[in-house]
Amino acid sequence: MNTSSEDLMKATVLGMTKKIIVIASLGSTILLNLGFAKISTEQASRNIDELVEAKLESKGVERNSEVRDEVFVRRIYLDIMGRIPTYDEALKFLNSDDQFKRQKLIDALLQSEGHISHFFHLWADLLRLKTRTSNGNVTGLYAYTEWVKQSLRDNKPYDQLVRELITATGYPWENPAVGFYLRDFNMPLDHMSSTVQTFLGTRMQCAQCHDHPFDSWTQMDYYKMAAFTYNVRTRVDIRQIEELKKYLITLKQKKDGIDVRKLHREPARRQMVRELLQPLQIGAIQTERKLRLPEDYQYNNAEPKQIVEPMLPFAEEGQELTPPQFESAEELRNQYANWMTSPTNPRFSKVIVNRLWKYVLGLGLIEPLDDFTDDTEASNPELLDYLASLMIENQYDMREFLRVLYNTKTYQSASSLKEEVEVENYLFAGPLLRRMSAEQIWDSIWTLVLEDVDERKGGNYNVFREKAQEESMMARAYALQSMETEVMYELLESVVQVFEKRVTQRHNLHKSMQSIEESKQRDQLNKQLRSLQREARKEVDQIIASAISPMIEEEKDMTISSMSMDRGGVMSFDSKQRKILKETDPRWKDFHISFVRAAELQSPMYPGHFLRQFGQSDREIIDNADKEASVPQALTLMNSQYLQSLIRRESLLTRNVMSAEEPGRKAEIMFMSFLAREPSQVELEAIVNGIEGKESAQAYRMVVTALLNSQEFRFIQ
Amino acid sequence: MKAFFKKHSQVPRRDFLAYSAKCFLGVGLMPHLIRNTLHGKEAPIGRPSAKNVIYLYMAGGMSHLDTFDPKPGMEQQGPVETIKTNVDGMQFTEYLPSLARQADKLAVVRSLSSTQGAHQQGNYFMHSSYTMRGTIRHPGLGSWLVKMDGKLNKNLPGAVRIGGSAVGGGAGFFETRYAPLVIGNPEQGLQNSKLRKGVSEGEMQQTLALTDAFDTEFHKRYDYKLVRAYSDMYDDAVKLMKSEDLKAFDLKEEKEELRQAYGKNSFGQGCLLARRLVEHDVRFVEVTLGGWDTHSDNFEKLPDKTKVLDDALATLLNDLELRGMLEETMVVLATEFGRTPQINESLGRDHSPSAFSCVLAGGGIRGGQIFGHTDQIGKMVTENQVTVPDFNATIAYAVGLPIEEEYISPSGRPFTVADKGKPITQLFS
Repeated sequence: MNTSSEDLMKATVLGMTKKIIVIASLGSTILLNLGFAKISTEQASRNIDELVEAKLESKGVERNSEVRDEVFVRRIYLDIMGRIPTYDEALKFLNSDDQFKRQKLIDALLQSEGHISHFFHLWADLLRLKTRTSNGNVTGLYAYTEWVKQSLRDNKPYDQLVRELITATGYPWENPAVGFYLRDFNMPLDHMSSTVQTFLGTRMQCAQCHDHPFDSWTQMDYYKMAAFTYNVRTRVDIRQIEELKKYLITLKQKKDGIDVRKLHREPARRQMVRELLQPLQIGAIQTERKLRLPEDYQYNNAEPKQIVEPMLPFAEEGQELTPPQFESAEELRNQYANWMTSPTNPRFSKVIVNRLWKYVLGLGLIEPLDDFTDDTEASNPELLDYLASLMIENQYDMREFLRVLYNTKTYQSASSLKEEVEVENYLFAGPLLRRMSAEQIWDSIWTLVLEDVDERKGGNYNVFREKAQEESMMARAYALQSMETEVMYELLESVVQVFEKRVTQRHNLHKSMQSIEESKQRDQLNKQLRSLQREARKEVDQIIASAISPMIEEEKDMTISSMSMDRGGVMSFDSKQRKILKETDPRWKDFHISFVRAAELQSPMYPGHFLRQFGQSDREIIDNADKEASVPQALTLMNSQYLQSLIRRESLLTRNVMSAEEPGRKAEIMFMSFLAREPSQVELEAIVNGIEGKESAQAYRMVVTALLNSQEFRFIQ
Repeated sequence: MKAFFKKHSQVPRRDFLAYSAKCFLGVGLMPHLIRNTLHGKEAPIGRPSAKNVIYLYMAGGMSHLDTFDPKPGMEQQGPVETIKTNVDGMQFTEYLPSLARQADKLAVVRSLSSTQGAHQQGNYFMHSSYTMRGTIRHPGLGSWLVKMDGKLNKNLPGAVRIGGSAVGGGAGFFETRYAPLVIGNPEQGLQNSKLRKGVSEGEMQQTLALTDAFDTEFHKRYDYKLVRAYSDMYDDAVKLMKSEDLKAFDLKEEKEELRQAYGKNSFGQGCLLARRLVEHDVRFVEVTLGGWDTHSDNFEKLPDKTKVLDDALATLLNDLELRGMLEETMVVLATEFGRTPQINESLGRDHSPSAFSCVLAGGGIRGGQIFGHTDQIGKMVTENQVTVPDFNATIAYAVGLPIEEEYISPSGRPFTVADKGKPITQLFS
């Protein structure tokens, strides 16, 4: 590599210029000025096909035949939109004689909202997105989820997306991307290894407790790496907030002998903190905290509990590995983010293109996706290099990258099956035959039932409840944050007073209870206790609402929905509200609010739900979804309530079928709706024989159930 | 491995070989048959005899002082009285009157100690023996059991979880088919196992025949085992729907009296369902009772909570004994941690991972014993400390799992069933 390109690379790494970047392509280094026109989609697709072909030819294998339109339309809808095409969509495509219809359809689908509802799951699985933590805390994770969706909608460049995640700081209402850190609340070490696995395809977690047994990582490497982001704390110490510090000190002066640190032990104040100040503790805050080695550090290159200085595990291409120079922890984290996402990071680009390649074709060029080592070789190294260079050249435009892949002949060929090939040696004669993901099956069912399924937003009851909770929590915290200090003191004081009153009342009641033997009287006292609690809550809610609602109304820009604004940011979403959650849109009024696309529901759904039965990731660890067959899946497809939705008079499917008179035509509509093709003669005969002597409602039910349970329905050919 | 074999030094050579094969191949090679010989009637002292496990989980942290480890006369005990049990020298609190009459079936471990003081982490640790990590999920005991030792009833799932939403206790890094089947409401039984209203068996048969017809072409095109697996699941599903075993899920088959005795609440009915499932050779059934997190008003909340537990567990033990199932069914009562002796300002107790109690019964456990002790007020363990891995190793030992056998996870890391805990063999008779 010559000197000038090295300088350029340094410049890029330091974030000084973005005009010129270096790409590694087919083994040689080329300089590209991005001011020039990008390579066309068609050309890029052709280049890929050539690289695949070269490999196929070298082994004397032919590419699979080009797929028919029937197969293509179903496949492309499932792959881009995450659902089957509707009856109308399938027909429209099949009947078109535009010679560019495939290309045009790919373009249209990639621009649609339906695509976001599908692409989202790749990220939900990868980032382990959860809408609430397992212990039930609501911590701005809905805002984070929405941020991820919006980033995909905006087609935010991948490197920028990753940088924004890694450098995220603040409260979730200020910067929802902090969910990236909040997701791993209080687990900074695990967070680091997940981050490295996610974006660099490198597994370091073994080295958390000991030197990696088969890779080169040492425990020291692990800690040095963790030191870059260990300075991010996921719990904000509210005693460090200037205004609150003053308030706590004032208190100390007022009430002699109270230790500020133990303040929270007082029941009334503890409640006040819980009600009002807790949300202010939840955020990702930049500190100067230093990481120390564990107490049981066993190697002799350092002492246990010694402070660890940050150091990267590997250098960028053509660079020497040197300790980072930094003035502040914030700067250190920025350097880390820049190193991670640099085009010259040897793994960053390869990991994402390999991941998207698998997303489109069913198998990575390197498998598994996230266990790169120095010895890892791609099944087609030239292709992987080219894909990486293409990604860099297109400035990490993921949508363009997907467009290129979907337009290749490689993608538009008939599918192969994993069983017939050795995974490491698969040459990509076509994509792999895949079972639909849990989300694709779920979304496809509602495509059959609901009109304009992609437009139906909302979620199940828990989503409404939790979102309202989260939003009101954030509204409160935001209001407190922006309040005049004096006003805030007054508010805090009056809330404490309410709780103090309740504590005293409760104490007295308890005293009287202890002397009462009769269970009836005890019950009564218990009732009184409960109502005391309710009243105190109400009172507090009112105090807070009247203090903060004017402030929220001033701030129209905030991400606070109208639901919580109406109630002055007060967290109370009770059973009465539940009744309000009725669908008002005439298109869907006959169907329960929880019948929406999977991306609208909680992440993940609870165990036992349809999605989990079919293998939705629990989103506890990276890429944890699976497609294994199981008995409960069969039971659900044969016997569950969802079938009823399909055959109801109001369902889209039923309405389409009923629009035809003639039985053969009805069968055609059903096949087109489920499988995007017409039934064969053999299949028509099977239907005629199968439903002989049955009433029409029963016959309809049978054919629908049979199609839903068919292999062709659950596979993507 | 050595230590494990030592305990069974009298095992005949042939069985030893079979057993070794099982250990090293890691498959359920005639699983319980081998073990039964191994731990057969002639076996020496310290004989575990469990085939299946009923695991009752007290979510939130059950107060040990107010249940199995009372400290009579101490201020920290609060207003709760201590009562005698049918075992000399063993005392419970007044909250557990029925269990006190069955103490001779119980081994009360009073010296549990966990390293995890938060619910989620504690729950995970208790279920999996490993501390929670963001990068891997460890399997629960039930999944280990089914993975290593196989199912005994091929129609029913190997592991079932009734209620609760444990963070641990899933399939972890094992294949999904080892995950416990989740039953939300014990009264409703197995989801979707019955035909929908108005659909006859004949109609379903004809419908599936129609599916077969639609699949013919597809199967010709993709004639692979991997694809077939998805239609094979229908054979199993239909078998299950028709199977007599499905009745295992139907609580209506039980006498109303017995249902009442278990307690007409979801935990009580869950315990009854657990017994029915174990009777049908489901290997591991977990039932959760939540609401033990009594940071405030401990003494107001506990009477109701403990009554549910007392009724259900006492009835379960009785029921298992009457049916002659206690010998082969290990009953476990577990929780993530205990609660502090100190009563806080809200008249509650806070988390105490440093000392708490769990209980074992059946499966070869010698009843009527206390294992380990805590100090005067129940704050720290003073004798025979039992770690969470030790406790789980004891359960694994009871069902004959090779506790030292390493299993390599898909990420290439080695794990054992109870993270190298040492089973408390003294508990067995």
